[in-house]
Amino acid sequence: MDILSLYEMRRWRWSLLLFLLLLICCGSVGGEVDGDTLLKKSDDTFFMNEAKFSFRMEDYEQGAYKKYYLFDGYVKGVDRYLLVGMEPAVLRGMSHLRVEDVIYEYIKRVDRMKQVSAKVAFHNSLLTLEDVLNTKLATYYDLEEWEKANFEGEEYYILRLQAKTQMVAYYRINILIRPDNLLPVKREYFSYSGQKIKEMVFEEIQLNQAGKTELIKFTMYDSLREGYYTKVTISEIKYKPIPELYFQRSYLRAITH
Amino acid sequence: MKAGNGLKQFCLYLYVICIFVLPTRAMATVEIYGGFSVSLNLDKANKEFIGAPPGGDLGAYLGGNLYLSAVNEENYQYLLDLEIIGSMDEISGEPPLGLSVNQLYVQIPLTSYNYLYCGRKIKEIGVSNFFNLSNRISPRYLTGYKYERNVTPGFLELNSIVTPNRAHGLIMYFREVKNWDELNLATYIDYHQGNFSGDGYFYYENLNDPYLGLNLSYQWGLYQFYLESIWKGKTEQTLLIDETGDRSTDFLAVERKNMLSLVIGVSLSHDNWDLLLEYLRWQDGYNLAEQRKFIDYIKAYKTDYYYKPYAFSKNYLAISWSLDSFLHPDLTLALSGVASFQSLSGGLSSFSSWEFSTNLRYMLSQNSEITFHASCLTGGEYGEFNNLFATGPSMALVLTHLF
Repeated sequence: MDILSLYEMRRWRWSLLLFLLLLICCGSVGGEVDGDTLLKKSDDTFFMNEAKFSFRMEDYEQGAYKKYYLFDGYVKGVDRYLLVGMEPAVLRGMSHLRVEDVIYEYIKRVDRMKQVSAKVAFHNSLLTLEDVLNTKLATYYDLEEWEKANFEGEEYYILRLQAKTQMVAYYRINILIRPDNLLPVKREYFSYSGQKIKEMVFEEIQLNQAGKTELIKFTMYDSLREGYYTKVTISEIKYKPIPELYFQRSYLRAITH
Repeated sequence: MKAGNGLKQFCLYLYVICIFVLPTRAMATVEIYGGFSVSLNLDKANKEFIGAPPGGDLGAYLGGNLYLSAVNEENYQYLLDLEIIGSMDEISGEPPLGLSVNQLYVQIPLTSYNYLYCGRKIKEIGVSNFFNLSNRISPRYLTGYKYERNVTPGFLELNSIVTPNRAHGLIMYFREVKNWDELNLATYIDYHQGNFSGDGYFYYENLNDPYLGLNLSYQWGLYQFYLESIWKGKTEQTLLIDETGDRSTDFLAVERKNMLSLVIGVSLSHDNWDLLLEYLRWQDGYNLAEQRKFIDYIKAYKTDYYYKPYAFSKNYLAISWSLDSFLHPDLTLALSGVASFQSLSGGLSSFSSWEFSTNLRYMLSQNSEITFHASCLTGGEYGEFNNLFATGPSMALVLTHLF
């Protein structure tokens, strides 16, 4: 082998080595996602940003249907959420508004405005006001760790979130996300004592052609009492500008009917 | 606003129906909803009552509200609230069932940020749960196990949303049907920022008497702290000045100026239980000597007297606790107590009195519930409730249905 051939061979080796190195780096950047991206994707699926929708909630106790509630909902940004009661009669003329961390309740027939805690149960269901008038999890929870793991025979991304302050309803939330479409499958909620108290299972998430959510169905199970759960359907989602006025406390008097 | 005879009633109902039939051409469908309740009440006479001794009463009653409302896309709204009150027996020859207009008003959007409310309407003002001090328009007050309200018969309000945190308003109202010549005005500012909410009302009643109401509340996690107050430029207090037995001369209305009364309270809302503590300092109330004198006078002469519950003594304390899923997921238990007292020093036992209530509610279905109420009184020699309440222990069984 002459000197030229030896030189060319070394050059090819170095080029191959460089190419392989490049391949590994690109694979790391383009082929895998990080925890923050997963959380953002999960939040974006569940959170509509600015839309009008229909919100239906059904309570089940000991496996039997108990009651239902139907609301017209409006959301804008990460901290504006309005629910206007439609059915049944007990909800008529009642609305709830979330503005940042504050929740207001308004009753039209007596013109009563009241500020309420986000941690109280929403109409005696399994959901708290914070669950219903929800915002992006990233707003109130830090991502502590994440991993790709096998759960009940299937592979998921598992994210573990922890509360930023003690003003929120849950201390820790675990989220399971499908690796193929990055849609959330389940959420587990833990109290400040470390006990798992609720589990949210997503049954159906439909996306439109623009990739925006057009239907969400999930069930919130009480982990402490078997047979107690609340089914939620968010449907008729219309993505359109919602006036800022809708999310002002004083406007509740006008919009509630 | 009660119609007198049958013809008046018919005309009233026709007028009301026209309000809804004619404009609904331009409105969305009229929504009809409401609720009714049937109750069986047993009121036993208060043995310590110092007035003319009443008999006990066992009665069955029907009550409820029927709401008719219509709203269009521009937020023009009508609301008719018909109140049904009835007894299973005739009362003094009157028909057992009465239908009256509780509220009838329109909401007119002048602009996106300015609204006009006009008609007969309830306006809820204040942040307290038991003692509604600052509401001079349609105050809410305790009667046994429920609240009642004085609905203002004539009401005109202009509400203006000034900023996302602040709203202003101007109100013109008439307090009583028979006093249409007494014009009352009020103006208010409503402000909220984060967990803090506050509003201030300035009332100018009869274009002569000023009142100032202030309501503040702060939400801190599960706790809510609140203050409600009313300052009266001048008010009248009825004092006992003589003891001849002639009520018309023994009592005198004395003018008082710069009277400030307030309520402070704290509420705690947990997952399935709530706790509330509320204190009322009622400046218009009798002091210790006046209370003793009044009670002794009534005991001696058994005459009629003017008495307004929870506005007699200087101090009141209310506490209530409620628990969801009590022994059963559909059962709710609530216990409450209201105390009237003069001071925590000497004379506490003699001048204090308590009213205890319990409330057990069972959900039959989402729109129906059955509730059992029970209450009793106790107090010292000069206690307010045990001496001045005609009804002693009472019980009620109430079936409520919403539609």
